[in-house]
Amino acid sequence: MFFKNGHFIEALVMEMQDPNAGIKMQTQRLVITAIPHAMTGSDILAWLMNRLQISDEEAQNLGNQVVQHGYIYPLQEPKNLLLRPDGSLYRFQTPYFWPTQHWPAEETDYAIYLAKKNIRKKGILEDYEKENYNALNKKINHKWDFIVMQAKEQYRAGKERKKGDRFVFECQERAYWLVHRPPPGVPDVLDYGLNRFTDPNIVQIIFNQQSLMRSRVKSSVSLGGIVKYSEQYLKHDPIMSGCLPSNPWLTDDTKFWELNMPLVETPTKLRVERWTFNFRELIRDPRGRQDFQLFLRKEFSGENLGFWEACEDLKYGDQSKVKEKAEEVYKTFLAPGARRWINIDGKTMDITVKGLQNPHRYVLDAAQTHIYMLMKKDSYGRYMKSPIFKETMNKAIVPEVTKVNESKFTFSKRYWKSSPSPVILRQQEEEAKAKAATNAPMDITQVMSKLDRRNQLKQEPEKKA
Amino acid sequence: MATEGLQENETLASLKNESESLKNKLEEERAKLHDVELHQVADRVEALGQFVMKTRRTLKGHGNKVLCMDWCKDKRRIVSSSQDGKVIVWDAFTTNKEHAVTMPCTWVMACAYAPSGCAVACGGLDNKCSVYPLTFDKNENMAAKKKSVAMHTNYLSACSFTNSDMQILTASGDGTCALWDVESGQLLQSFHGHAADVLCLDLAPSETGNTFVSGGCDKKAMVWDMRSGQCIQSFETHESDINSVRYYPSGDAFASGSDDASCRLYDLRADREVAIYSKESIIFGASSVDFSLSGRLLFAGYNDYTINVWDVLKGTRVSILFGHENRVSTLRVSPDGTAFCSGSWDHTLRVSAGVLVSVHILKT
Repeated sequence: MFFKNGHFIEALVMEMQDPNAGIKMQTQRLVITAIPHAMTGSDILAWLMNRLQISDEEAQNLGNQVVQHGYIYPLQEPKNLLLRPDGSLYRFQTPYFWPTQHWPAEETDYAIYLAKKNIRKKGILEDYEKENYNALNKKINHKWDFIVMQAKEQYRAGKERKKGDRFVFECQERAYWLVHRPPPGVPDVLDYGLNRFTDPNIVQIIFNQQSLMRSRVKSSVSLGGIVKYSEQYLKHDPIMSGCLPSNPWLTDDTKFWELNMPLVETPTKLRVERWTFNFRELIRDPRGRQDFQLFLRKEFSGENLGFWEACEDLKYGDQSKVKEKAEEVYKTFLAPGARRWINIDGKTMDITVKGLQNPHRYVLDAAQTHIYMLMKKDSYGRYMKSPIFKETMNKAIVPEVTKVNESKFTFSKRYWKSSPSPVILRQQEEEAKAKAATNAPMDITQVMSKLDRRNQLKQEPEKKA
Repeated sequence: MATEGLQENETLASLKNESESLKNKLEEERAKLHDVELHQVADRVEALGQFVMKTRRTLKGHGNKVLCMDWCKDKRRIVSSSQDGKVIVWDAFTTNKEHAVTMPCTWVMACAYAPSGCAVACGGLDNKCSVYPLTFDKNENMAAKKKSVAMHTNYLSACSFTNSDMQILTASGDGTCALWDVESGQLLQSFHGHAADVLCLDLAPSETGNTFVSGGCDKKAMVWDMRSGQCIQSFETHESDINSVRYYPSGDAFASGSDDASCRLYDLRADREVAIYSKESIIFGASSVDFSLSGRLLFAGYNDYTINVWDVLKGTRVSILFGHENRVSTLRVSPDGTAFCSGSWDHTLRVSAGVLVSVHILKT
């Protein structure tokens, strides 16, 4: 595991240190020591804002990341690593201590560091450091003599340095360990998550002749399509254009969702408008599909939509039911004299019937595409001009903007209306179905009316699409 | 994976050379039809004004890093999974937790809501994808009804139901994607081609096609035919792992987010990368991307704890959002586009919504 984006930060840090265009550094007095090449937090922030043309908030966040990753360290004793937007002093970390160095921060080194800190000033260890120290004492107790010896040796060697150098080194080391052993509650910036793996030796010949010969469209054409799409849907995008009566998340009023339920009786104008964009919008909206089905029945081509739905069910349904479903589809839609016979060309019918001898999920693909295209290129256009659609469009509502009551504490949980879970709704549906099934007399009349309808259809074959 | 049947006279080096030269030829072919840039076509489109986005709900309850989330079709419920093995179903609007399951493994990196809203799928370090039917029955133990569906040979990184509760598409650290039948656990189709861990996938919203896109640690984004298992298109322009892929709502393009600190847009009909969303001040990886309903905006969560909002057409950064206290690991726009939810290593999920305050009119 290694720090991935180190090269980005390092490039930035190098720029910050540039003698001409970088951050201005000065020798600063801290207590009685003179520390060279120090800079203030506010100067660092100003430089980031100017160089990268970003706001103070963004510069603050970026600055924090740079400090948290240990590329810049504070000179005044902090509990954790943050870029303070004031006169607090900072210095650039020596590359020796950069997190991109591949040697791991060993437990032994950490123990030595804590022991050294303890020697320097007894009782200076933070609570979490004391805990770590005690834990290490237990874990690597067999090395303790070595650790204490090293700590004493390093402490002694440190005392021989100039006061300024000693102070700087202590700050550098402290920052290093704040990065590699963060205090509780501070994000561990070196936590990269799970290990990912790449085998450089695996060769992929996926760039083959096929991908070379693939048909492509001119950029101007395809990009034009992309731009056009987002323009067309602009009014329908709540984040871009708001929504009526209001965005539930902003006003805590759920009316918008109630008005746009899947099978609401009266859809909104915006929703009906979407059905006019393309056939897919119509057929994918349950309310739109319902309206379209009504229209198809009037044209005696309702079986087309029924067939399409059966194909979807086959493609995406339970694998174990494929054979059974395919047979059912054949009986209902494709067999000669089938109850809901669909009109497809001879070639497609041949392919489909042959395929049905060995049914699989995609066995109806050809027929489904044919019927889909038929609906899209033929029925869809007529639906748009039909009285059914016109009535739906006329009745469609434009909700009024919800006036937000300012005095209501909208951030209070009490006002957040709950809704039945889909699990509960399904339970209720199933209970309703079960109840309807036990209601025998009604059932017979429904069957009778269905039989009548079927006879009627059989007598008017020429009206089929 | 692709090294089966090496002939005696074919060495690894010669295969690599052949791959390189074909790749170059492909780039040449692609370049021939590239007659305009996206931002040029978008010149005539109005620039965006200021966005004021606010966190409207904060969901607290996970005990460790939130790794993944998905919306329910009812536009207000979500499922989320975390490093400590917990999977929680929330009504994000009321912030109530409705269901919770503890997985037998940690690092549950993938979770998905079933189209019916009555089940969830999840998996991670157990190398599996399991489906849990949701129930409010206090006497039923959700873990008892769990169905073990997918079996990979490495961690599960992503999963998604297709058009029904009966099929699941998975991506794995074993370098493959796979389509499964939920009821039987049968493998319906597998997809081989990535040279490293596959980290993400997204199903195409197209009307007739059955395709999906995947992104991996091999820096490749690959588009697959679900029926044949073949890779039909491939793009290799990122400089590091691709953490997230998401289709443009029309299905004619997709966006990706990568550890190389950039997001990119790939046009499927032109067969090329058509936009790079990056800034010098953004130096940490993008972990998760999603489009607003119209596709005009791209929301991207980053490892520097921020969320950047991009103008997809003009290529500029519209807004930057702060709030999370650790990496943003997952981000999805709600099904009706009214809000987006972000999950983070800071253990929380946030639902944010907002308004476009003013629109600048460009003076021509």
